[in-house]
Amino acid sequence: MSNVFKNITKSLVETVYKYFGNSSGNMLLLTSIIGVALSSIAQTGAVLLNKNYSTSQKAFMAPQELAEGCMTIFSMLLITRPIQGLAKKYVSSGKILTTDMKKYLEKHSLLEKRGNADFNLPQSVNNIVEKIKISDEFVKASENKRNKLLFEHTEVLNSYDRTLDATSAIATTAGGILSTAIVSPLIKNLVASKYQSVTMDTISKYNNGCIANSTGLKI
Amino acid sequence: MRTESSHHNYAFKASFYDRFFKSLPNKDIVNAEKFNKIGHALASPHWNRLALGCAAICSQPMWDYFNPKVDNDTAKASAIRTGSKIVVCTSVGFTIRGLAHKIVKKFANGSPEEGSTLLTPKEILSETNVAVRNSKLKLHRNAFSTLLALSVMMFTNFLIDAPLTTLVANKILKKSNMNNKSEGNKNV
Repeated sequence: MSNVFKNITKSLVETVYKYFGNSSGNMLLLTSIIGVALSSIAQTGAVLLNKNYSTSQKAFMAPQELAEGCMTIFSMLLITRPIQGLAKKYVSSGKILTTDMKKYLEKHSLLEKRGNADFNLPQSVNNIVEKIKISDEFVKASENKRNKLLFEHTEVLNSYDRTLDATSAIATTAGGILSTAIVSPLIKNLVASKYQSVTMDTISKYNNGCIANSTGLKI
Repeated sequence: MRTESSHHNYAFKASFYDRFFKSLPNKDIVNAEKFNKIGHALASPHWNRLALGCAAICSQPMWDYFNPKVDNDTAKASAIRTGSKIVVCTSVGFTIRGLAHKIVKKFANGSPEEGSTLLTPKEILSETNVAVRNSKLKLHRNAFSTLLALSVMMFTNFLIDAPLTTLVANKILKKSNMNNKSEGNKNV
């Protein structure tokens, strides 16, 4: 039993690592979307079951909750994701550089390419590494010497990974704030008030119809 | 001919994008350690939830209260409900995500000497560079604890968040209505 649990847990761990291990931004976005959808369903149910609200208030707040859920998901996909993509491009093109990354680019005469859309920093580092690996010096070197030859390149790639992840997380949060605190509440209120007026019109028409029918009048 | 035209269009768009992208400002990070620390904190699920919750409480109730499309009573009830929901959901979300992160941290260590490796992937365990391993481990812990928290919140959304939001919102609404009535009586 314990082994079965361990195996299931291990395979779950490997799957999560495979898909999200190198990109916390994607994980945050996906779980935020699922969380928002579930929360929206729960809160809509809570509004409909709340006896303290009038029909008119429910007619506004229930669609408000649903609209908030939908708008938050849409704005996350339409705002947060592009911001996340732009942030990644910012780092990979070298627009955002740490001091050690800048020194590295300067040393390898790559600094002038910084910020170009077609410049890819990790790719350029890998190209340099590939050239080193086929050089005579590297081929003839001992394991220690090889590690020394590759050290600065590995370091800059590690620094790049850390910067990319930090930038991605900051951008995802900023995009999340923009979509959940500004865009989504504004649109959800517009949608909900429209729905409220339509619902209240239907209810009043229905009530008038009932009164008219009970008094024998045709409407 | 058609292919050539679409090729020109593509080339034009690409060069426009290139020029636009190049015109965006460059940014040098002087204190990389501090920058990475902020990034790591925001990537951890509970601090991320708190950041979003704080931003939401500053703006969302205000949008609801000053909504010109609905009557005053509905606007007030909606603002109170939104504020209560943000406070309740942020508190519950922060606590659950924080606990999930603690649990994952306990069971996802870099090596068996450091503690349990039940939640550590093979690739991280076989990584020899300690700095790279720690960095990867941090990311994995965040991702896995987010997933764990989400699976718990599938239930707490319905069992805690929604009923607690209703309870808090009703209490505040009642108090606010009573205050309004007493103020009305004073005016009379």
